[in-house]
Amino acid sequence: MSSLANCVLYAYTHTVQLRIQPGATPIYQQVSDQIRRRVSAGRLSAGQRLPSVRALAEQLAVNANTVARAYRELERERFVVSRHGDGVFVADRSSPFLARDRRKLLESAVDRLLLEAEQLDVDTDEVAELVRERSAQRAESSPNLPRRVGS
Amino acid sequence: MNSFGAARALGWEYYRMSRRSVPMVTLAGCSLAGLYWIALEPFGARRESLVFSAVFGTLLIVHGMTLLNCRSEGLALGFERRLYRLPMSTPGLVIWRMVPAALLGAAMYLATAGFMKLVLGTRWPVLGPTAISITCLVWMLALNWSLGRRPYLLAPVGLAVAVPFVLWLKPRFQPGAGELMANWGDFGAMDLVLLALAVLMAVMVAIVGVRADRAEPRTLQSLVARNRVGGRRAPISETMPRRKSRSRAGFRSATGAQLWMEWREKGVWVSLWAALGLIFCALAGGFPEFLAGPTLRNGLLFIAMLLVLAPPAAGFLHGRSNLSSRDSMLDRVRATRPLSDRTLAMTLLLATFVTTAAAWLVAILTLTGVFVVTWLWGDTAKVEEIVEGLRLALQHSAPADLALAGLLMIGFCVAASGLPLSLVLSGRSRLTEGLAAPYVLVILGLIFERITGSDAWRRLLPYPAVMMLTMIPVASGVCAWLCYRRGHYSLRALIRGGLAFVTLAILLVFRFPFLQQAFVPGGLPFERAVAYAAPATLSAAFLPFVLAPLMLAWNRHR
Amino acid sequence: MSYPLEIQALCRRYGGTVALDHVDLVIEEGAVLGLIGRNGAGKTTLIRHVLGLLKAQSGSVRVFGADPVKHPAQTLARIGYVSEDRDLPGWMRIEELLRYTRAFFPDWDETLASDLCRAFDLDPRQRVRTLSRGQHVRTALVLALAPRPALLVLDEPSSGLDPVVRRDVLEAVIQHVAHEGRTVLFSSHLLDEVERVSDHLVMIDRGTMLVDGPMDEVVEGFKHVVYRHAEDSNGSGFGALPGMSLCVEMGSTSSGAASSGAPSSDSASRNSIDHEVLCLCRFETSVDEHALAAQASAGGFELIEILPATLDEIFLNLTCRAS
Repeated sequence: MSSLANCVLYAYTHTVQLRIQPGATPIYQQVSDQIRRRVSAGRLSAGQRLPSVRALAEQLAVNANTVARAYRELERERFVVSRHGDGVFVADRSSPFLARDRRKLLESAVDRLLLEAEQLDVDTDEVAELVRERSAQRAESSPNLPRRVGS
Repeated sequence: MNSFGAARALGWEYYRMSRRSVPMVTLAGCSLAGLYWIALEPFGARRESLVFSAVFGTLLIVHGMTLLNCRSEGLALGFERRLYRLPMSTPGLVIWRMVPAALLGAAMYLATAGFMKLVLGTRWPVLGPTAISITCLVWMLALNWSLGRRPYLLAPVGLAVAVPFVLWLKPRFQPGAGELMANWGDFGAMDLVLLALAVLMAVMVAIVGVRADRAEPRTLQSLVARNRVGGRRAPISETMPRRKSRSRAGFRSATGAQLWMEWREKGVWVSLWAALGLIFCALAGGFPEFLAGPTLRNGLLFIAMLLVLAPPAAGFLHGRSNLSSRDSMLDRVRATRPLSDRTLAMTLLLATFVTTAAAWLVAILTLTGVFVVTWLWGDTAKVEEIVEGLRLALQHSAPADLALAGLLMIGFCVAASGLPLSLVLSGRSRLTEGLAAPYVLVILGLIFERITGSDAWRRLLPYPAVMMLTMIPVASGVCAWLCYRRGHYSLRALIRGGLAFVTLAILLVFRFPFLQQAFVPGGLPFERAVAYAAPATLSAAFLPFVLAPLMLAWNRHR
Repeated sequence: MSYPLEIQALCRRYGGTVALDHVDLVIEEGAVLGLIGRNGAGKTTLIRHVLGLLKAQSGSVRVFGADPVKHPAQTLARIGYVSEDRDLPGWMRIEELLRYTRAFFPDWDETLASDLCRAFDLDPRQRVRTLSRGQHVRTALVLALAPRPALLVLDEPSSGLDPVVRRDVLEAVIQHVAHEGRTVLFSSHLLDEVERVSDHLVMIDRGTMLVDGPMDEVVEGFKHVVYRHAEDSNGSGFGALPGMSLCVEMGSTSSGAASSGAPSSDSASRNSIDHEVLCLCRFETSVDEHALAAQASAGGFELIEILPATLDEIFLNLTCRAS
C-alpha cells in the first residue's frame, strides 16, 4: 500500500513534508507545530490548501482524530482557516494575528533558552550578547541565508 | 557439529516425534495380525498372509507416520525441507533419517512376531520378514523423498520397483505348503545379500533424489523474482497465462470452499496413500497368493481389510487440523471461518465421506485390476466363478435388499469415519487414544486365551455389540438433546432425524427376519454377531451428526 | 446500538496462572484501540476471546452485541483478523487462498483485494509456504481487509517485520477506519506504532489492565515529577495531592550527593539532607505547574520539575512496578 499511497498522495507530499516521531510530544502537537513552523517560515503560502484530514492521516500513518485535533488547534490559533466543504487553507499571512503568533512561537524557544541559561548560571545580558554574536556569525558564513526573523 | 553428534540429534528427534505413536502402531500391528488370525482364518486365510498383514500393516502405518508426523505444513510428499538447513551433507541427512525409520520398522515387526509367538504360540518367521520389511520401508522412503515434487510418477515408478521384488518373492510361496515356517525357513545368506543390495540401491536413489531436491530452488516464481533486476514488474495477469480451471470461477458456497480445502489438504493424500498401499499390498501380499495359491480368497480378504481401515483413517485425518504437533487444537484458519459450529462440523464430516469414498473407489479399482490380472495370467476359473457368483447374487436379491445393503454400507461408512472424526475433533488426545480401546480389548482377550487355554471370550464378543446397540441410541439421544440446548439443531430437524432412524430400523428388522432372533435372550453364537452389526451400524451412523458439532464446539471455544 | 466490542469482568485461568483478571473493555465504533503489553501479558488471550476461540470463564464478551462463542458465524463474518503466527495454509497459492476466503464473506471487495495485491507486490501464483514473513503478513492483511470487516483485529501483526511492511500495516489500519463504521483492535508491543494509529490505549500486564483511556489523555496525563522532601517525612503523601490519580516512585537520591557530584559516604551527613524523588504521576486534568507547586509545598514537598513522559517510559515504569 505504501506504493499506492505514494502515487495517490504525491501531490501532497511535496507541499507538506511532515515528520512524525512518536515520543514525549503528543503527535497532534508535532503535526500542528510543524505546520505552524512552515506557515511562519513562509514555506506554506497564504491561501494554499492543506491536505484533508484523511489524506494527511494516511500519508503520515497516524490516526485521523490526531490530525483533526491538530487542525482544530491551528484553526483556533488562526494559522489555517477551514472553508466548509472545501478544505483547510493556510490563513492570510498579512493578518495581524500571524505576527503575534510568530512572536508567540519564538517566545517558547526563548523560554527554553533562558531556562538552560539559568541552570548554567549565565545571566540574561550574556545570553542576549551571545544571540547577537551567533546571528552575525551565521550571516557571515552563509550570506544567502534568508533572514526572515530580522525582517 | 560432528557427524556422530548430528546423527544422534536426528535420531533423538525422530524418537521424540514418534515416541508416543510407536507403541500405538505396534499395538495396531499386533492386533492386525491377531484380528487376521481370529477373524479371517476361519474363512480359510492362509497363514502366510498373517505375516504379510503384520509386516505391511506395520509398514504402511510407519510409512504414514514418517509422511504425516515429520511435516510442519500438513501432509506433503518429499523430504522434510526443514532439515535442509542443517549443516549436514545430503548423504548424512538421508542415511540418518533412514536408519531410525528402518530400525523402528524392524523393531515393530519383531514386536509383532514376539507377540504372535508368546500370545498365540505360533512359530513365527523372523529373519526373512524383518529383512523384507527393512527393504520395503527403505524403498518407500526413497521413492517418497525423490519423487516428492512429481507425485504422479510415484505410482508407475513404485510399480516398476515392486514387480521385480514380487517376482523374487513369488517362489517363497510353495503352493500347498501349509506350515508357516516351511516357506521362510530356507531364507538364506544369498537372499540377505540380495536384499542388502536392494537397500543400498534405495539409499543411493534417495541420496540422488534428495540432493536434486535440495539444490532446486523452491518455486519457479522465486527464480523469476531472483532474476528480476529491478523496477516494477508488469501486472501478473499480463505475464502469466491465465489458466482456466474450475476453481478459478470461485466457489458457490462457503461450505464448498471449505470442502475444497479439506480435500486438497488431506483427502487427496489419503486416496493417494490408499492407492499406493493397496497396489503394494496387492503385489507383495495378495498377488503372490493369487499366482501361487489355489484360492483368491486371501488376497480379497486382505484388500477388504484395508477397505475397512479407510474410513477411520479418513476420520482421523480430517479431525486433526495440525498433523505435526501434539496439540490437536483446531487450527486458526478453520476456527475463524465464519461458519457455525454445526456447519463446520458437517463440512468436515462431508469431507471425511468424500475421502472415504475416494479411498474406496481406489480400492475397488485396484481390486478390479487384480481380478483382471489374475484372470489373464492366474487362476482364470476362480475369477470367473466369483464373477458368476456375484452375478447370481445380484440377480436373486430383491431391489429392496440391495437398497438396504447399500444403505448399510453407507451407514458403515458414516459410522466408521464419523465417530473417529467426532472424537478426534474434540482436540483432546485422551479421547483420541480411546480409539485404541477395541484393539486393547482384543489383545487382552488373546492373552486371556493363551493363559487359560479357553476360547470362551470369543463367545463374549457379541455382548459388546449388544452393549453398543443399546449404548449408541442412548448416546445419540443425549447428544441430540445437548445439540438442541446449545442451538446447533432446531427441534424440528432433530425430530425429523429421529423419525428417519426409527423408520429405517423398523424396515431393517422386518426385512431381515434373522435380525429379530438377535433380541431373543440366551447364548449368542459368534456368527450371530454379524446380525448385531447391522442395526448397531445403523444407529451408529446417526451419532456423528449430533456428536461432531458438540465436539467441534468443545474444541473451537475452549 | 451495540458496541463493536464490549468486554465485562473477563477472567481467564490456565491451570494455576491467571491470564486475564477482570478485564473491562469497550471499543466505540470508528475507534482504533491500541492494546499494548509485554509478551505473554494476555493480549493474545484477550483476542482469542474476541474471536470466540476461548470461552469466557467468567464475565462476558460481546461482539456487536452477540456472544462470539454462541454465534461464531455471525460474529466472525464481521471480523477481519491478522494473527501473529504464520498460520495460513502453506500449500495454497495466493490466488487460491483469495478465492477460498472470498467464499466465506458476502461483502468481499474484489477490487480492493486485487488493488492491495498489486500494491503489496504479491504474486498470485506463489504458494503461501514460499512467502517471506513480510509477504505472509501482507497476504493475511489482504484477506482481512478485503471482506471490509466492521471490526479489524490485528494481533501483533508487525513484530519482526521490516519497516516497509510495518508501514503497510499502519496505513492499512488508517485507511480501514477512514470508512464509516469501521473499528480496529490493534495489539502490539511496538509502542510507537500504537501511539501513531490508535486513539484509545489499553495497557495490559499479567492479565490486568493498567491503563485504559484516550491516547492523548494518557500521553499528556502522565508526567515525570521530581520533588524534594525532608528525610524525616517518608514522602508517601505526595501521591495523595489533588488531581493525581497515580503516583509511582521510580527512585530517589539524596540531593546533597547529587549536587556535589560525588557520592556521600558519610551516613551522618546524608541523614541531615533532603531526599529528591523522581516519580511517574498521572494527572486527571492538564497540569498547572504553579498550582501543583503550591499544593505540594502545603504538604511539605518542594516541587522541582515536571517533565513529559513518553509512552515507552510509561509502559516500562508501570510494567516494572508490577514485577
